[in-house]
Amino acid sequence: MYKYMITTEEVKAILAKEGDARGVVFLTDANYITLRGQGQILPQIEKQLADWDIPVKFSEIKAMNWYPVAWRMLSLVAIKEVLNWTDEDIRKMGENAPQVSVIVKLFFKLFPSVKKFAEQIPRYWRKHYTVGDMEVVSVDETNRQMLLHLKNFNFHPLLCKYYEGYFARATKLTRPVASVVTAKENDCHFKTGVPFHEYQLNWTL
Amino acid sequence: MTYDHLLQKRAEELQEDVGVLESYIQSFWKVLPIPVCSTNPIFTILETGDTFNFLFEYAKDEIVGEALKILFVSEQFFSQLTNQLVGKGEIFGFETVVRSKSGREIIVSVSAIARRDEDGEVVGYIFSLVDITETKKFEKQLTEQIQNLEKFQRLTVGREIKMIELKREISKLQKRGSKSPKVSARRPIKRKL
Repeated sequence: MYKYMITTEEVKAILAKEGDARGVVFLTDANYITLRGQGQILPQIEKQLADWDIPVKFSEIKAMNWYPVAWRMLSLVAIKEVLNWTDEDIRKMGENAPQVSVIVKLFFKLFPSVKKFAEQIPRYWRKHYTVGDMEVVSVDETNRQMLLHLKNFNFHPLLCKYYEGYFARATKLTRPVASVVTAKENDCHFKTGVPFHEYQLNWTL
Repeated sequence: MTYDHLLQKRAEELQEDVGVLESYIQSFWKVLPIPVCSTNPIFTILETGDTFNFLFEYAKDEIVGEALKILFVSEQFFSQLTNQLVGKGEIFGFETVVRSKSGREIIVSVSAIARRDEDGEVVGYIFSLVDITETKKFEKQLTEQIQNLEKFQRLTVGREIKMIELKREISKLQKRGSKSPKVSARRPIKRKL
């Protein structure tokens, strides 16, 4: 279990990391918090971010604009801390994101063919982030399994949980509604020091 | 100005343009008075307009991710509709019955068009489901009224035709009567005892 209560040094270290993310990632978080009936807490999260010198106002974020990934990462930490959420809550927030993301709706080609969908995945990643590389390691249509490696993207372990939910739901959008899709992180840079995060996706239909 | 600066400026301009387009699209989904939704190629709902949510009584987060077919009363009709859409790439004005979250049945006119990528591959569909329940009700009332009018017309015109026929008959009889020896109605026929 990781310690998420973050120190000033850790905040500084994250802020020093380069790379941008689309504003949509903040908006999908705000959307999920509001959906859970906790929209009134958003100013508290903004205040926490302001304490770290991050000028994020959720209502002013533009979905297609670029913002530092470090801000996005720390906004996730702030959400978890202010709302006292568990890892599972963060995973669920990740699960909700593809469902409301304007980028998914406008740019994702949700081909029902798993192979064709897999070919799109690295491109999808680049639509959201200027850093990190998403690679499809294998697609096994018979056993309904896909392995993904996320490389050069080591901001904080909290994001690993978020992506489990995100990848599961994004894949589910390409499968028949009755299909059950699961995603789990098999190997993690923060746990074993490997130069990637490995995600295993499985689906039933 | 260096080439890098030019590129940077161009990127900023593009970002601004994308922002404007994004807000335009969002407004479009919000204010469009027609119930519309977009789906992926296997007809899972990805986006809905506010009018669509209102008509079907679903919150956006409830209906996005669901199969479009759950709204259709007849699964068979849905299959026919989507087969035609997949084949032709567009369909217009198919009338059918759909069901809202509360179970209210709504007659709609369904139109849809395929969204294609730069290679011409279908990446999804946009559906409009226009509520024509009131129009249909009105149409039914009109049909009933027309039928009643026709019935009335048949009765009145039939009577009229009968009257005309009777008049003709009378007139014929009168003509025939004028040719035969006149019998005065005023003079009673004397009967021999």
